[in-house]
Amino acid sequence: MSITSASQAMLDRYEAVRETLPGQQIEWLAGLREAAVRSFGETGLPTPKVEEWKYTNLRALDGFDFSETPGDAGTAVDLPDAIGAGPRLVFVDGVFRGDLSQLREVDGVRFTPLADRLESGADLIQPRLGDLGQDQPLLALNGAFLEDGYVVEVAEKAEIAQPLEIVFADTGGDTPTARQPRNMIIAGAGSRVQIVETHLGAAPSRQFFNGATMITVAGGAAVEHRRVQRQGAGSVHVNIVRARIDSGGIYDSFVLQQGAAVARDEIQVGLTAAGSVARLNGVYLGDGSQVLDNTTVVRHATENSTSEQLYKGALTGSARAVFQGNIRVEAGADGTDGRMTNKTLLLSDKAEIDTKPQLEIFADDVKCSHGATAGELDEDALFYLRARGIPEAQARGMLVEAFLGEVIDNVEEEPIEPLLRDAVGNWLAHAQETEEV
Amino acid sequence: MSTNVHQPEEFVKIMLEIKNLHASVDGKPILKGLDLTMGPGEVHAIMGPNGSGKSTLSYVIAGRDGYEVTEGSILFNGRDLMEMEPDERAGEGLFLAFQYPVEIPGVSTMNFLKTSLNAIRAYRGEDELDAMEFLKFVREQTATLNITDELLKRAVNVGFSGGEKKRNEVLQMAVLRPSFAVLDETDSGLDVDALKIVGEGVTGLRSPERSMLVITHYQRLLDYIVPDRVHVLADGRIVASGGADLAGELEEKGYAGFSKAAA
Repeated sequence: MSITSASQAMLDRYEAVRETLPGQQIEWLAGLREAAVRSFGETGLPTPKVEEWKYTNLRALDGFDFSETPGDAGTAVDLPDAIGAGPRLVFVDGVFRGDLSQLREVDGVRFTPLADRLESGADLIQPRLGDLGQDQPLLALNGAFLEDGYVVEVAEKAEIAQPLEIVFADTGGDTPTARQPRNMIIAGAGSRVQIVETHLGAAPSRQFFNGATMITVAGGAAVEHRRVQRQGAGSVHVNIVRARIDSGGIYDSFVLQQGAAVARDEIQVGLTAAGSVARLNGVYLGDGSQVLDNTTVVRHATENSTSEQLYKGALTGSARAVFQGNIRVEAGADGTDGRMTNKTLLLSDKAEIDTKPQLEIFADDVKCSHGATAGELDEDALFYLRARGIPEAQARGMLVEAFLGEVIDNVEEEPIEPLLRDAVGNWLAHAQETEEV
Repeated sequence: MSTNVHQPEEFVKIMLEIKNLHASVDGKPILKGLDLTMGPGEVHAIMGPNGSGKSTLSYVIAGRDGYEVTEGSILFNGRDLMEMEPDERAGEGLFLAFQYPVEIPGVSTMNFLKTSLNAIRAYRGEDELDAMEFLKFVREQTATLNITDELLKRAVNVGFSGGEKKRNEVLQMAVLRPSFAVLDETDSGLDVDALKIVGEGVTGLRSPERSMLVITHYQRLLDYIVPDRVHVLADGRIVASGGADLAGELEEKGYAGFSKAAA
């Protein structure tokens, strides 16, 4: 089987930099890397021939030359305002920047770069890296390079009041780069934490971001995971989240997909015990020729677990969005409640949504549903607003904001809510300036 | 021709002047030479059977897409209405109370009212009301219409009963204070109690400066809003006009005779 030229470029790059990769002196880690790169080499990057990648093509990466080492990462960075009053870790061009971070001790949680824990925290980290995800080429690739990332370790019963923030910033430039951070969230029994990730890039940029986050939610714990994807135009962004939820645990995810040329946010959740809950919500805003993909795989492995998903987006220009939602109910997983909804507003004739909800049910007593809609703005509602004196552009804006507001209501009164509402408002204003919306 | 168009010689000022209006929907002619002239403060009723063009007339006045004027003119305060966008018409003082008020999920009734009022104020070069001023103003209007704060928080018309939807239309009229209101079958779908609230609400908004065109199939709303003139619409034209008592006559005898006259 031949692999794509970008895949070969990644393998060549690995050979060139293997000795300089972070933590390479640690024997077990070097061994895992070798296994991961072998695994990646067998298939290379997924192509549309693979069912799960039918609608999102990574061929844009074939134009990236990864052989050059980018220059110094010291370029000035425009960091966004902090969302809350908690600590914040900042990574610029793949490198942890203590000077730009807010390093604050918070009772009940250890929140550090991964590099700080590779040796001292090997007992915690090593088993959770596992096989580095050889079952999936992008996870394997991430495992081979395994750059720095963040680790959140919440003690049992600790309730962390302020959000823990992470910024992955890219200063852009002409040299294509690949960033492959690996993150971990480990929530002890009965704990509560909110994590807010922001992905930023200067435009134009040609970055390949291939991140992976491994999450374990112990019994009765609740993890709220917020991701704001505003990677620079021209970038390819893939972020894979793999979460395992124990009894009574809650994994609550919200993703805003707005940046990059091609982006995929993929969540794989295993609901492994009774009373475990996954809530997956997302908003996508696409214009130009963007491709924004949200893929979810929820596995109900045992009795009485619950999953709820709501993804909504607005597209203009010739943007395309993909929603692939898979709910799998294993044999014996009676009492499963799984729901998934995807709705898209197509604000131009050329915008497109490919939506593929899938239910695979092997148990008898389950409640599962899925729904998908795509359409234009409601002309009756638009006329109603205009008949009340509201100018057309403003009326359209109100309707789009109301449509997406249903998802944002899921993060009501969280520190991130105003940012999300502003994001929608600003996106609309920009879309209305540049295109007929 | 049996038209008997009222010529308002007693009014110096004309607010709405419709001349020889022809309009089509999907290429099908609906209005076929309608004439109507109204002065400030006048209340006229347009009555007619289903399919006579009543709703088409209201949508043409409000400026809905798909309602094509093929001939004739509508002047509002001397200005050509056809040249204006729907929102500009509202800014100029026009208001349409919808026969079927539209549900808008995700937009609260309060936000809708505030955005509308401020858009119209902006159109007129007036300052926007702040949240406190607006709240006080709205509360003054909701009391008489029996509209609760809870309803104002709900999304526009979503889950409203028929009566609540129509009361919400009257509330919008009270808040936006138009100089000319078209009420398109505002009585449809109302029980007796709701009709009373709506009828009295609209009557309370009558003033020497505010004209109303009440479009209805039945006389019952006109028991509350006694019109200055009643017109019979049949097959896209006004085929008879008279005083308020014409409405009673129609209720008794039906439209059959007038429809024949139009044919």
